[in-house]
Amino acid sequence: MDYQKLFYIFSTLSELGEEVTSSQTFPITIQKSLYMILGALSITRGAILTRGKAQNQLTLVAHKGLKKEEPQAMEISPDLEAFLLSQKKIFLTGGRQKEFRNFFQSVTGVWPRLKTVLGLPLTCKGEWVGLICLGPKLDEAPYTPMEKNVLTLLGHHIANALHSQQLIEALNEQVKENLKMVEDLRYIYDDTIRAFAAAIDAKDPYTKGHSYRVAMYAVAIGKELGYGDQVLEGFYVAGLLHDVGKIIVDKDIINKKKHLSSKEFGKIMEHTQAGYQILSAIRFPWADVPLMAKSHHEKLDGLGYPEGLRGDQIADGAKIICLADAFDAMTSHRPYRHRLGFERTIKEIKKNVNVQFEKRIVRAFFSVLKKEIEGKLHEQKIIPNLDEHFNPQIIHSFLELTIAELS
Amino acid sequence: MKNFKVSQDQQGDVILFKAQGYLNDLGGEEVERLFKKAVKEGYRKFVLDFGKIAYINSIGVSFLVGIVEATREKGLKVCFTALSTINAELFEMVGLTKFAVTLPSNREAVEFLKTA
Repeated sequence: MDYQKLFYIFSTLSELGEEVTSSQTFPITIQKSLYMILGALSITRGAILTRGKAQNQLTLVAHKGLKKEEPQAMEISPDLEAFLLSQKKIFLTGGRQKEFRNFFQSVTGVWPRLKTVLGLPLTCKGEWVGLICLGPKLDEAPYTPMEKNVLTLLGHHIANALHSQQLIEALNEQVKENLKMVEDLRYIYDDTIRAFAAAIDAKDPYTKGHSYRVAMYAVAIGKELGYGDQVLEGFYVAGLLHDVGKIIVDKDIINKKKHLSSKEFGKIMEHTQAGYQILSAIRFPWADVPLMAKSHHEKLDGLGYPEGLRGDQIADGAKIICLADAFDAMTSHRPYRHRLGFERTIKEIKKNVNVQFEKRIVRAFFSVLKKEIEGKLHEQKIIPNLDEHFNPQIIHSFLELTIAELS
Repeated sequence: MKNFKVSQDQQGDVILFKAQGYLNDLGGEEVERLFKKAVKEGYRKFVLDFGKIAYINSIGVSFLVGIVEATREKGLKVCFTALSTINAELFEMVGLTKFAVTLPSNREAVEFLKTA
């Protein structure tokens, strides 16, 4: 090999090294790598194969000399696969060994256009990562020992590229699996919380589905206020669990049809503090879930419970849960009263702006209601939960007027 | 491909491809694609003008090997023209000139192919 040829081979080797470490996508890198090998020794056609996803299969990752419609993979027998995986050195057609003959017959059977005369196993760190099938050279002369050495050198670079790609694919698979597992866990988590909320609501037949509705309303209000998905998820969970403290309250008190005595009401009030204690033991990924449960009966005027907090002392999330909770309570039957109805409820809420509810939050809530009536929201979270017929025009006018007043 | 273009022209029954820039990336596949398309359309005589080619590497050579192999298999005629000294040496070294004529200009190549 003269110095010019040697220089050309070195240039190719250097460019190939650069290529396999470039930031190009794998299909481009591998295709260019094949062209480099072919161009380096004036080889007319060739292909790079790796093990397919299925057992006993070799898949094309790059080729030259094949048409688009030709098969993308070839089946091989388990014996032949095992044999190929054990090969570390170049092998040529015409050899005596039966397995080599089988291999060339198989490749030619699937891809006759390749005219494969040489197989170059690709190994990286002792591991088989693929195979290059090469056709004849342009001058149809046999491959010389020097050319086989050149191919082996170039093959090392391609083997590294394939190995990296296989690692990336394995990593991607692992990430996918992990994401799926996280998703499954989320479902389990969500279902568990909902089941827990249902269990709380089951203490009182009148509050069936209450926690779920509060969660939905809280999310709708939070979204209107511009909170991001992570915070909204916290509102959702807090909505589901805001009454968890009722677990300590006697069922008879909860279901009592007559007015509660001050002692009984005191017991009811304890559910906020109890809820806080129960939820504080859980490491939620969202801030303030226990606090939202504790403060959802606080009022802006300081006359709420358990701490008598005022205005800005109450967390935003708690104010949202408070409004969602009150809205659902007023639009639902209770053992001691009939529901107020949608129209009366929103009027009652308006009346309590700056007393129990914050103006900004009521405005956001009314705005969601208005949008739902107008059919402007992709997903309705409130109106479908109201088990009553109402005059949308009257409600809409009221909401529009009130929103303007509160602005 | 940073900078590669190929245009096609025709003089009688000869198809002329004028390449420009760097023949060292996947963009160079276009030369082989246009060549094979012209072969399919029935043309048998070709000139590849390398006058404005700055650099050719092994990727570029692989496309030219594909073209030369097709001309040999199908009994076509191809001339390479306007090769720089370095590209002429490269073509010689990789064996392309064994199967294709190299001539200084397109005019000479077209003349040559008329009688081929």
